[in-house]
Amino acid sequence: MTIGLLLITHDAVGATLVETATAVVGSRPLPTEVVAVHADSDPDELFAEARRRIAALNGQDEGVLVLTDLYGSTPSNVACRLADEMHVMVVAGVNLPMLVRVMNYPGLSLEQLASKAVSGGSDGVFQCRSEDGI
Amino acid sequence: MCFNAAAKMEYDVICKQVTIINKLGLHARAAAKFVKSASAFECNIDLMRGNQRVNGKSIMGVMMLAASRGTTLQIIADGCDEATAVGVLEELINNKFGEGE
Repeated sequence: MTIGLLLITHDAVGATLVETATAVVGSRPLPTEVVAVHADSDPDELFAEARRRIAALNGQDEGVLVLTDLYGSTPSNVACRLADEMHVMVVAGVNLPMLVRVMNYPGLSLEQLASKAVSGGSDGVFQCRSEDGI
Repeated sequence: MCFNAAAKMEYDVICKQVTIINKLGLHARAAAKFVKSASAFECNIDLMRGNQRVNGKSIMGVMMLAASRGTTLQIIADGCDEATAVGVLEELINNKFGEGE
């Protein structure tokens, strides 16, 4: 079973994250779509667009993990409206660590993958110290 | 394939010291390659740097070691295919992750 991945982010953030994470992991193990939100984007049109992408990804009802960047912003607000859909889970705060961890566990269920996204994203944020690297 | 796990056979843990020798160290793509190789084995594989121990099958875990060139690590493998796993991973590291420099 394979979960679909949908990024809803400001401008080119999502596409760039996907491109870089794919280069790091060496492949793109999950079918992935990106919706870019611009300053002049209409929220209802974005929502409709995102639902179309989810329908395309969710062909076998295995689920779609939606990742968005800044909670409370328009991309995130559109993403959170999708949480009411069947087989959709939404995680905010997407970053490169989160995406790399998600791509490293393509075989997990939607619930497990959402949990990996949260842990990967938060584990990747901490203050770096000199010398010992951590 | 491992069948012995079902028979509850015990394996001694293999602990192998390795040194990172490639220019960029255990950077993102190198960590991904290490994890991909490690994940092909059934045994548990951990990596240690000093007292810091991480899951060798987790990219984010391996990257947390921030191991640059010259860093000494321990590969700790436990399971039915541990010997093969350690050999393959050691070769990957000594082969500079196939990056060529």
